[in-house]
Amino acid sequence: MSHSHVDRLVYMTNQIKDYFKYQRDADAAEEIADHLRLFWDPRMRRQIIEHLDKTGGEGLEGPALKAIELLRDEHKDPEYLPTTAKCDPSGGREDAN
Amino acid sequence: MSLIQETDYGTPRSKSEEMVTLTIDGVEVSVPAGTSIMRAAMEMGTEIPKLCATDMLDSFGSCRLCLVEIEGKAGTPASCTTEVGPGMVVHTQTDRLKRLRKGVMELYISEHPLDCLTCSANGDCELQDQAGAVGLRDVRYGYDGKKHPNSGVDESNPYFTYEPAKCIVCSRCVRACEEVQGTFALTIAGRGFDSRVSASMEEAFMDSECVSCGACVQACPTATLNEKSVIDIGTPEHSVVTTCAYCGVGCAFKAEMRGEEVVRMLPYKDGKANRGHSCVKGRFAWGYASHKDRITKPMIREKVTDPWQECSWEEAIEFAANKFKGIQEKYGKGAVGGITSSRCTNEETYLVQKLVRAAFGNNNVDTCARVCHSPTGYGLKTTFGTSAGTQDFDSVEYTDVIMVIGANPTDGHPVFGSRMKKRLRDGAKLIVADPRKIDLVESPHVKADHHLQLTPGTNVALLTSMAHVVVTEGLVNESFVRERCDWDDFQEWASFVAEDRNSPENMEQYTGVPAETLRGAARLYATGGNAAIYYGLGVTEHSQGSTTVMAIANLAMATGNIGREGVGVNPLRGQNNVQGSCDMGSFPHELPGYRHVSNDQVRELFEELWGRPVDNEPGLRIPNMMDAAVEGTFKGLYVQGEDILQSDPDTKHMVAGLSSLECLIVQDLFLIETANYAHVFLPGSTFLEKNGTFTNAERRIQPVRKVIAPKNGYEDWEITQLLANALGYPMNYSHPSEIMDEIAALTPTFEGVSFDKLDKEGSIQWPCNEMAPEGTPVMHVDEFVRGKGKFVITEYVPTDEKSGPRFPLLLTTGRILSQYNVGAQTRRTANSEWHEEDVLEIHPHDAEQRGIRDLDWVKLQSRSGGTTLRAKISERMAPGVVYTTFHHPKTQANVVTTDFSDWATNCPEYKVTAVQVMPSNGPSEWQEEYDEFTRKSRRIAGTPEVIAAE
Repeated sequence: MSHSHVDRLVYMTNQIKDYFKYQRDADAAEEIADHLRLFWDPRMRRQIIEHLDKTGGEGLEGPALKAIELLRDEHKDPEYLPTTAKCDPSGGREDAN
Repeated sequence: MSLIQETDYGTPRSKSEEMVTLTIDGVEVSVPAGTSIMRAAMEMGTEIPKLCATDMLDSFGSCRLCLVEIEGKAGTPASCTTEVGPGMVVHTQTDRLKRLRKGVMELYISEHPLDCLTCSANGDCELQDQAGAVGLRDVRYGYDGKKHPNSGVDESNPYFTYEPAKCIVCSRCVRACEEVQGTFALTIAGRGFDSRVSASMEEAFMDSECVSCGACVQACPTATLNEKSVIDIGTPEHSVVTTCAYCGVGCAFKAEMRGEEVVRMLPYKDGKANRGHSCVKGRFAWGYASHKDRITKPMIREKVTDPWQECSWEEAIEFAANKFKGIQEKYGKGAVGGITSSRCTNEETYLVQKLVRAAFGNNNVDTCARVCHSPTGYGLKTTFGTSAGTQDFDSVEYTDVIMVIGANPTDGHPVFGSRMKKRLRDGAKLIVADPRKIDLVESPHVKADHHLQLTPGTNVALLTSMAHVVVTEGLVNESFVRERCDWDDFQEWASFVAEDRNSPENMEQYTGVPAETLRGAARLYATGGNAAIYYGLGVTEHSQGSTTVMAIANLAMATGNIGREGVGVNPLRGQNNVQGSCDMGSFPHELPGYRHVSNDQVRELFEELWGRPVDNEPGLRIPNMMDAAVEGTFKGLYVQGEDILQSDPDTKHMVAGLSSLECLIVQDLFLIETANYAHVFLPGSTFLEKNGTFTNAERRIQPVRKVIAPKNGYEDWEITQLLANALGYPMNYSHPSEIMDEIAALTPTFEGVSFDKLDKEGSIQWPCNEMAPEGTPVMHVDEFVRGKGKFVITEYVPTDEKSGPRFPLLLTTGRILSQYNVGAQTRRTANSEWHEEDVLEIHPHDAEQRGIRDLDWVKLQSRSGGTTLRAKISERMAPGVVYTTFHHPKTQANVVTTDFSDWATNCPEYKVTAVQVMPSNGPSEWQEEYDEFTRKSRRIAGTPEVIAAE
């Protein structure tokens, strides 16, 4: 397995896809995106979105690619910002209130 | 405080619900049918003299001291072997009985050395007590018994001695080994005066099959089997009930003390997890608390290449706080995090996550459950609605079919393993799914009905094909599923598992398990009565760990094996407080009580009480922390009571991560491997030195009680509090009970828990609240926590870690009985006499092909790295599979494991690593370099002695 950080994130996303794509009553892309929202630190989500922007999502397979596109669209939405904190470009955080 | 003396009722409690009334010594008494007269008498407060009887063991009737008279019956039957009968009239003390008992005792004493004043059991000897009880004043046969001279003392076991001259041949030790422990290591050899207890074939204890659980020593009524610590120190004068700090069984012990010195740890009969039993770790391996390697003074250093500087607590805390403040100012709030400990108490764990969330201002908190049972959290929450085992340990007594998958209870959870073996001897059936032929597969009086010796990494294929059998052969419990589960989900799942590709015949190509064997196991599980699944890290530590947990849940729901005694899904937790550390909000996405950080209402509760905002985004998990550290966005880490360098996978990546940190704070008992990369060392306290609670694998919250003052000056929760205050976040608890009160106020499943209630009840299984004020032994009784049980499709996805020409074998890792986790505690006890080093178990065929002989040095190489260790040729392994433990830093087994992990939780795939094994001359260059680095890293300025690595 590659040790490049982004490669690892791509690999992990595809692994998640390999679970959700078999859940028959679910929209796999939405489920994958939700899993990343629930369990991934925002900096990881940001990094894979950057990967999508930079390479068109190289290595992301089927619904995994669509899931990251969903996340990217959310991040473009100004309403997306969390209620109590917001991401700062350095990877740290500052309190919103 | 005084010495706690538990009542010995002489024979076990009867489970009958029918009551029988009889008269004993003129007093009418009612007891359950099946109760012995001895027990009935004791329950009304009359102690009939006895020697061979004890309520931990079935009655035996050999000593003839417990004789009684029963009106209308001839003779003087033994009260231990005679059951009560309705209307029975019993006399426990008559002239005839007095005469008989005195005569029996005369014979015993004539064969027993009368060195009572210098005997180690003086004052704690049942023979002495009973001689007094029967009024023995003279021995007509003299005192020069034939057994006394030259019988010697077996001192081979590091923890207890065996002195045959003092043996009264009551067989309590033999029976304890059989009935309680289930090892069958002891017998009575010889006849008449030559009769004596024999370990195996008259071998020394240390050379026998004895597993040193201590049951025989506990059962011995004299000093024949006695703890060396009692011989050295003397008998204890007070005791305190506390909870063992090893493994997830959570055995209750009486810490028996003389002043501030621990004399011995005796398993507590009222302990609901262990019911008076113990293992070699909890019973004997507590000496690490006073080991010379223990660090008791805080230390700091600027660089990890510098020697440590001892300093005051104030200096160390200020140094650490300034570093963390500086890092957050420079890199942002998210650049620091913490790791809670599954060895520490609930209160300490709660405080560390609170520190991270309220003082650091982020959710970068994780725990060692990341690398063991995080898939249990995901899997059981998804299917059942909460992350916990469904039963209590007593439940196994009502189980008809036990399925053990990916667990080795006789080594990893030995006290529960013994309870399981007892139930198997009583007739339960057994299915074992494991690549290795673990002890449960075949051991004295236990034989698995089915051993599914699957290829590592194919759990999902195996369980899905079992489900295929259940569905296609009409074995589904449809009424249960219709009533209790989501019917649409079930139908989706049933059609999936019924597909031909999921049949045992098709899956055999992956699992290696013959289809007919698998079909037999599935039929047994589905139709054999109450069926319970017990699982361990062989389930979770895979790339499909979470999927496997859900496959187990599917199987249990489909067959209706949930929601009552005797059934269920039972994760066997590795460390003492894995369950508790997860309950306490140690995961980066969850607040205490498994509530997601994005839940506004929940977060508001915490924010109000904590006085700080709580981030609504998940934080970093341990592997993500290390990735972020290497990448440069994560710079500071506070680790309480975990050795992530030794326990976590892909050691070289872990080294790269830890080396990238600007400040690593390690709080521990010893200079563990992780501390090699630390800048601040805060000495921790042992479980003997603190108050708090642990929660075991059955959700049982149990008290941990301080019996000696912390050698380092502070309990661990106090140290976290000092750090919080130095960071500007006030914490002012004066006792852990106040922390538990806060936990109860914020966590619905802990709402009714308090230290006062624990003192009263002894232990409580959560949920404990208004709905269940006494706690909850069995979960999901009327409905699942999530409402309807959810069936999940479990497609088998093979791991990407594959064997091939370069790495043709599959390595799986685990642990053994005498050592615990990274061995930091047990390596510093005499337990190392059983396991001095990690060895590689290899099948004779694989060894032969490589020219490897038993105990040869071999190189173990994977795509991640290599190490060397000795080989142990063993037919427990299947050809193509090798096995080792990770207890010794000199081996560093995790140099070899990879960074593949569970898709849902990033729990590492420890159980599948493709490797090659080849002969070697000795330790590798890497090991020698690491040894040298370790030696340098552990230097303490002004201290000539270098702390040993082992």
